[in-house]
Amino acid sequence: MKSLSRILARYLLCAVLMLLITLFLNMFLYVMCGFRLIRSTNHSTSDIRRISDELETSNGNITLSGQGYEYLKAGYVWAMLLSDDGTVLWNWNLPAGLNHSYTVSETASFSRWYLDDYPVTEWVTDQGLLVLAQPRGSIWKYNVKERAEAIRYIAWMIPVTLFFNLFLVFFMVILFGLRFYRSLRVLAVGLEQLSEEKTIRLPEKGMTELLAGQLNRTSDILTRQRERLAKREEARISWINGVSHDIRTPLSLIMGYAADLKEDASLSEAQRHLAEVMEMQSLKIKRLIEDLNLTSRLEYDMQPLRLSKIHPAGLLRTVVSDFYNQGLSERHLIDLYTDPDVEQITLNGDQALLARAFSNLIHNSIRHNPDGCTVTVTAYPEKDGVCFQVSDDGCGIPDTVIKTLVNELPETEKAPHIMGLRIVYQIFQAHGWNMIFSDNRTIHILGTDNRHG
Amino acid sequence: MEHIYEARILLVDDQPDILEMLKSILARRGFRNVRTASDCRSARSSFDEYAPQMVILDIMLPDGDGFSLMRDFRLTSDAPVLFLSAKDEDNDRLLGLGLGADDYITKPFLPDELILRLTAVLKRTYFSSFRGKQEDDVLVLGKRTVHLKSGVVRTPDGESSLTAKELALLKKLKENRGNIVTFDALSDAVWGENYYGYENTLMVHIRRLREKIEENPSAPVWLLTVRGLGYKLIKEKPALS
Repeated sequence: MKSLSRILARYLLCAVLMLLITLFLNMFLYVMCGFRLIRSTNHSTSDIRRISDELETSNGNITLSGQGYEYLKAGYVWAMLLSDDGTVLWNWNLPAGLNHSYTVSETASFSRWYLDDYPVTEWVTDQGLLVLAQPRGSIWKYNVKERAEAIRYIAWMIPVTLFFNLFLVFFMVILFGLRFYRSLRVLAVGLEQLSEEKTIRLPEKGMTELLAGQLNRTSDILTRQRERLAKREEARISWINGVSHDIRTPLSLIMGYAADLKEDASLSEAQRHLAEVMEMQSLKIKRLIEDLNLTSRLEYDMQPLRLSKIHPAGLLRTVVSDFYNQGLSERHLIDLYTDPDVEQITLNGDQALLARAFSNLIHNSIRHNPDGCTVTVTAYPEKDGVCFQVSDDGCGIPDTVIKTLVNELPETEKAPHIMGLRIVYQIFQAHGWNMIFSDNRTIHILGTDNRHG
Repeated sequence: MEHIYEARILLVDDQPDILEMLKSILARRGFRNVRTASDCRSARSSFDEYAPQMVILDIMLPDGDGFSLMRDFRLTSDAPVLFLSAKDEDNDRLLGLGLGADDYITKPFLPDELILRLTAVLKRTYFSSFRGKQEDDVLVLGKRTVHLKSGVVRTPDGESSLTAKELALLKKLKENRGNIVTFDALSDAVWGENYYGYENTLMVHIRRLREKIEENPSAPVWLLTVRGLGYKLIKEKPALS
């Protein structure tokens, strides 16, 4: 929703900016044009003054100098000089129809309007009234006469109107912005709900009708996909749970009777040995079922971490001691070294799961090296926690196992079965811990303080 | 009841095969008084009739569940209950133990494990005072005898007393005799705290304990150090003693 407010704010800012730019551009153009007009008007006034200066009277004859004619030809079609009683004293290119004396009223008329549609300009000289005509239709003449009060009123009204217009435009911008915001808000709420994996049904109307429709259809597709996925996951989990549950009773019977046969004195030693093998294999199946359940629970986040403060050094000591206490063969040795500084560190984690992970790693080394090996477990402090290292001097982990685990190889039927190691990987991942294979014999785990689980 | 093998045991499981096998395992281990029930209804009537002294209970039964059955039993009897179930999730285990069950074993199980746990529950419930006098209070270490109740170590030459902390250490080691007890578990038993901070103190207490229980404290034969892990109280009689 925050982003939507930002969009609206940007929209309003843009609108105001566009308005101001348009306003200033207009003002600039008006000023420029006005300036040019004023300049051209001034120019014509100075022309007529220059021409009148070129008029000369000698021996009662009025003449215009060569320079004067140059000025005339540059902007006028005819010229005449009238005496005070309206007689034409001098003329240049004056149309025949206009070559007559003029009464005072005629003079007053053309000085205000036009003379035979010629826009004329007058200038009072020592010799008389100089009248210059410009081509027909080239000049628009209009005499403005207004009360001074009205002019003051207009001068006051211009800024008021401008301000009112600005306010109106701004008001409309806000109004349309809000309407736009309201329409977008529905879409934003819909998108937010979609990101929270909820099904949405937006009203398909107004300016966002098409978008709302598309979002509704997207939501339907996502819901269908989610349902299909959930159904598949549910089927898989219930299958695993069902199988692992149903297999427990027959396996209990096998283990129970195998244990009985193992101790039955009436059987031969070879037969008792076979019973022992049956018992051992049943135990393996039992562990496999437990692993299968745990890995599927971890994969689907169904195994909540029971977080508590754990003491990594103590945890490792317990895990290693358990191996010795359960009877470790003499061919195998587990060396534990914890840096003195690690003794002071506590991390947040699930004690039982982490113990299971380290136990699995050590168990793997022992299981894959039946002829014996030394497993070395070390822990030393790192910047944000503890770095654990589990290594052995045995046969090492095959490359294909590592690649399958870190998803570099697809898990196909031919891929190695790595459930024990996968559980370890999943447990560390669930804690946000990083597990790295530095080589085929050494696994590094960077344990950090996971406060959020 | 004079012996645990005389205990009246009620087995409740919906699988007849399991009931038969359990009965056979128990019989072979000497438990003679065993009755079985395959549903809640028959379990209730057997319970009322037979007044069992121990109940081994499955959780999923055709006409109800083991948890509510245990609640009903507990209204009239304090007989210990051991759950034996195919449900292995932590929640079920915690629910069962939270309701007051004495133990929880998941299927499939090793018969020996079941017998050990069953025996432990029966001893704890019916013979704890007897055992305490005979077994728990005296620890024999070669020529030395440690009386744990009084904290006195008797030797052919005389006797010495253990301090409270030495006694706590020895009790913890005895509880796990034959197994490695980590520094952490020992610190926890004595101080209720983490090992770190008590590292040197723990070593001092162990050294003093050895001076009292070992013939030659610098070459101990009973209380051994397991490098990097903890200590171990030897189970068998060492050759040197």
